[in-house]
Amino acid sequence: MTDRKAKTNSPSGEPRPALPIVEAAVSPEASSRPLWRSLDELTGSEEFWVWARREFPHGAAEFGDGVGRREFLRVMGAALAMAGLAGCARPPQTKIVPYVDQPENIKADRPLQFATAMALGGFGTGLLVRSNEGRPTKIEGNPSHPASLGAAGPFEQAAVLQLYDPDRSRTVLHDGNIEPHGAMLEAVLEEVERHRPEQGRHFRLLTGSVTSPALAAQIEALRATLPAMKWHQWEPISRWSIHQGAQLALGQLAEPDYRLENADVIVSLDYDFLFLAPDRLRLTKAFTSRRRFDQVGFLQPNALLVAEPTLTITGSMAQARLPMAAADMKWLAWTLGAQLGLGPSPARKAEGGVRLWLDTATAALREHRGRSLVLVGPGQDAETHALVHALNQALGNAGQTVVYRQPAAAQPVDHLASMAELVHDLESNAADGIVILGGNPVFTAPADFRLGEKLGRARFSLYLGLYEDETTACCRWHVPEQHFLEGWSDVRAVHGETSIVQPLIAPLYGGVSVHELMAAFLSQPAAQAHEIVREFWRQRLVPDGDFEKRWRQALSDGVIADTATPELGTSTGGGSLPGSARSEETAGQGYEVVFAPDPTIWDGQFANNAWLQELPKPFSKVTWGNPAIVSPAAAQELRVQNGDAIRIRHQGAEVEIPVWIQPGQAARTITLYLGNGRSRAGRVGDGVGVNTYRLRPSSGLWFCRDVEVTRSDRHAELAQTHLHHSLEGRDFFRVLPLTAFAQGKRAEGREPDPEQNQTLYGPASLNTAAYQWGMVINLTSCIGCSACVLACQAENNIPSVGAREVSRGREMHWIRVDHYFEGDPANPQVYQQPVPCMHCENAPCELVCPVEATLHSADGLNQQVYNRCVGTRYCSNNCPYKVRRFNFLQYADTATPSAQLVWNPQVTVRSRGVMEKCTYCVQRIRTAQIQAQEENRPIRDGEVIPACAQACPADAISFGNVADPKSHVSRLKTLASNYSMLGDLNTRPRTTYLARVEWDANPPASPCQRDTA
Amino acid sequence: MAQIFSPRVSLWFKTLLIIFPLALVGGGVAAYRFSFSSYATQVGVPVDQPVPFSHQHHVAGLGIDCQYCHSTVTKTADAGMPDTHTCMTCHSQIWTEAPVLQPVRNSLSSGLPIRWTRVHNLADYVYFNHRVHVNNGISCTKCHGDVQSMPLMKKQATLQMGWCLECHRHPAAAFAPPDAVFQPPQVFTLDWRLDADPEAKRAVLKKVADVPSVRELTDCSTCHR
Repeated sequence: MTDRKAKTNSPSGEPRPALPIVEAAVSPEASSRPLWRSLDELTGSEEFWVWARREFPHGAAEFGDGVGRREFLRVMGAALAMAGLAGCARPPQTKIVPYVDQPENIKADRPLQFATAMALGGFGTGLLVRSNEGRPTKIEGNPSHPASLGAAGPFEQAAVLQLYDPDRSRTVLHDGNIEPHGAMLEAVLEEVERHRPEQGRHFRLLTGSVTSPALAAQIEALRATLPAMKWHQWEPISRWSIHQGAQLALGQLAEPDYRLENADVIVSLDYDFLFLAPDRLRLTKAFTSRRRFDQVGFLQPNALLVAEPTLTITGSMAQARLPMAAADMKWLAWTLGAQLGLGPSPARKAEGGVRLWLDTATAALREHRGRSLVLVGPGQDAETHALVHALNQALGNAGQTVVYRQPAAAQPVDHLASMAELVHDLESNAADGIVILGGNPVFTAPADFRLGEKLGRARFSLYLGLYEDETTACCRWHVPEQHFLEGWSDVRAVHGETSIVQPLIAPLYGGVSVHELMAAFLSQPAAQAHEIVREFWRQRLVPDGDFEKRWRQALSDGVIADTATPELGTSTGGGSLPGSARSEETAGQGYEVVFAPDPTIWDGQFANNAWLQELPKPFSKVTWGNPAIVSPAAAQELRVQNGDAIRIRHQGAEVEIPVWIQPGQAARTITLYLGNGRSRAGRVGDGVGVNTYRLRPSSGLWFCRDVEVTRSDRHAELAQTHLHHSLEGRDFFRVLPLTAFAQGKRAEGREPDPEQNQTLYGPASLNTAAYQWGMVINLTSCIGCSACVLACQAENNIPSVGAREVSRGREMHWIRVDHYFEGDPANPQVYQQPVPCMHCENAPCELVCPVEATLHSADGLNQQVYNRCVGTRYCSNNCPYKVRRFNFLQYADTATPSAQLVWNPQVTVRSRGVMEKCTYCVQRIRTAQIQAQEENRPIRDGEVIPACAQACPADAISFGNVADPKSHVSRLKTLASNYSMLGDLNTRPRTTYLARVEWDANPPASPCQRDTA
Repeated sequence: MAQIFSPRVSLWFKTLLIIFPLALVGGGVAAYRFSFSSYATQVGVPVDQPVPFSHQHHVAGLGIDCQYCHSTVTKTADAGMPDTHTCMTCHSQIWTEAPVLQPVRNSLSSGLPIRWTRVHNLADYVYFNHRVHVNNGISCTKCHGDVQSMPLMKKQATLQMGWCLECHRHPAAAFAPPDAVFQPPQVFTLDWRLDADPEAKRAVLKKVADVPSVRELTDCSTCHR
């Protein structure tokens, strides 16, 4: 909570004035409005309209940094004088520095791509990383990796910024003092010798979830040296309940492998599988493959029914969404089971909206036996998972829409129990030597374990970490860790497919590989990670001969063939349906707190990543921080507005946190995002948000019932982009009912589109080139994951501006994901819409630029010429789509050397006073043009892929030549659902949308209606 | 009431009234002319280099092809600068003791690159591409001038945007047949004319038909991104 100050006008205890926003939101008339974007807009408060009507929020366009008039004149006078003088000088002499020995294949503007993989929560996603003259600059998905299929999410793409983070740890520390690497190795060898007599009885290893086969082999080797040692694992976002549930149902630990492409009906109970699943990119592709509506007559869409406590991107795609407390989910699962004839029926009966949702789900599942799927989230307990496995079995879905595989982790364990045992051993002095491999467990472990204090009891504690973080502070030795782009390793995807993690750059900050550190414990301090990983795979890849060939194949493919975990029989039948003893539990009347990984900084490991901190979180659009998500009803009861703080007390812990009122939130559930409020994250992440781990007890890792919530008197200004670039209720988003789509009806707007030639400026005669670039965004398949926002940021050198600048409306993202609500604020329909520059053929911005800094190219691009721009901002003022971004200050960091390494050399780095916006990735277009011209052929359809389209896991963005009627994008534009945003203005945008198709009568399932709990 | 200004002031004032606009216009013209002066553009000014490398000797004297050293000129945006090893292919055999080559030998032994002074410096927001020019038949000499007669490298063109646009507006005049870009005599002869060779002229005209229209060649995003 930054910038928070006590509210003077409402002393504690005194009832506050009426809260028009909240009261109107819970009133019955609210649901009759058309699309709305925020509760403020829905209720039409005057403050909102004053705010929204300004081009930039109050203060954004002013020079409001506390500089007086005299100071301003002095600075400007000096600047003017300097500018005059600078004009007389020649450009400075620069140097050309060639190689001494030119490496093969490294050419200045021909970047290379290398396949590697990134682990998140232990599970790998295959990546292709672009390297410009040895600098990794852009991360993309690896099409041949099964967990990526060519897509990349925000976490993967932002990893490249983490690589260059100047705050990463650089030296070995012992009790806070810098020590040479050799001293650390000596201490390690000494420590192993100390434990050898007792066979390592007091030695502990703490890791995250380990899937790396080479690391697992090293841990096994260490166990052979110290047989009595214990290996603990801790992931704050653990998947144990999923594995354990499978054990209860199937008789063995298993990882469900969902085949969403085969499912007509998907019922998700508190599972945000489009974000939380380790293979979320693959699931997104499979899920959206059934909702493209990109050809005439497509009528096999899937139907999604979601019950969840807080609005997630998965919930936003649902045809029937039920806001429901996490603690009630078990009861819901059992009631659903009973309705489908499985297990006893809980005594409490469903009523109202819940009843309707359950009946809809039951009917849909019954009707689609073998073509449906029930999923449940990792926050629910193993019994519920077992019930859901049994349900899928009973519905005949097992083997069709879900198969079971062996877990990919080297040793799947109950992370909570593992951590509890470690803490107990530390407390009882049973453990006095501990090695922590990454993960920052002191920050993420349950608060009541007090891991940090207890680590101090160990005689030897060593932490391998990327940053000098909270865990460093509690350990005697700190060893800087290598980033995954810096060192060799291997990692398995959630279904076992193994990738070699290939480095692209030598360690920037002297990091140590986890394999090399483990080798030191195995008395091989000189071993190199490359050799360790290679030797490990030499023994496994070699069976048929040429190891070198297979190794190179594995590196170039990014995935080793035939490494998926074996499928288990779908009807092992070893387990039986567990009792439903706790299925009667309910959330009760008190408040419930749900813990969820932060949508942009996950469990806190990305807290120092400015790209991710500034990425607006879905729906709330909050950046730089984590407000508590509350429902409009709870806000009314607590009498709080957005930004007002509440105090949450549970089991002796207390957190004070500002709130965000979120439509669609379960009435008495408060959602807290983890990972914020870091104290030792680095310069970017320190003190951003509120540390909610402090409240997370071991008894309720995912949700706690009956927490005590009170209003506090403090208020925080949340840096959110929620209302920025508001289109003020114009005709932006179109919905096409499924029946209308089936009949080939057009997606009509409120105003008819004008005739092409209805313009004062004459026909668009400038577009004379053979290629005419255009884009289509499919609003039915877009899930709003923000991968495009981050892809654009990485590709186009878009700077982060920080919390203060964001709250002034100065964020720089060239593509934004807008969301719109419709209907009842307690459970609205949600739509999402990515908005880049429309590249209008009749572009309003071009007409008002006094210096021709924005103008049209022959191939239909709306060009922005930075070196001509003088910063009048008239163009932004005249842009009806609000897609232009202005550099109010020098945002691009030209001072930090390592921050410059991430820049794409193909794109100009903009300086202060310049307007910028989406270019359709013109650098990629020009590169393809040159390539095609050289090969004497036309540019192929699909050869030019802008960064946003490339990253999109839902394939919602298509790009190509609209002058070629056979191109993919042209075919999409002929669909009846194709429409232009604000087409009635006759701007003739080149970016068009395929209207969101909504299920009015559901062909696969019985009619689904939206309803409220 | 006494006169505030003496009669002479009036004369001064009238003179100033004439001089001031003249000075304004004159200053403007001077500044404009200055921007084209060889001082501002450095055209024709030889640049000091750590090794006084002579294109005249290597190209005209020894007949070494441009691409021997600038090896990526047909493949990438960058023409490519020779690494130290390229110099040493010959100079490990000849002129092994020459004092002027000491920086080259130092670079090889120390592993530190030679730091050449840039002669043709384009602004950072210009994305010039050698590859597309050379492969389409723009001879090296078209922009770099009579390189084979330069003992020390110097600029032949201003590299100002107006100069770029001269060709982009009249591309046909700039082309040499693709196979003649590096071949003597064309590459070394500034006064080579297309008309002299009917065969080559046909090849060029075919090429011209393929290149983008002037409208496209003069789009801002052709060079600025």
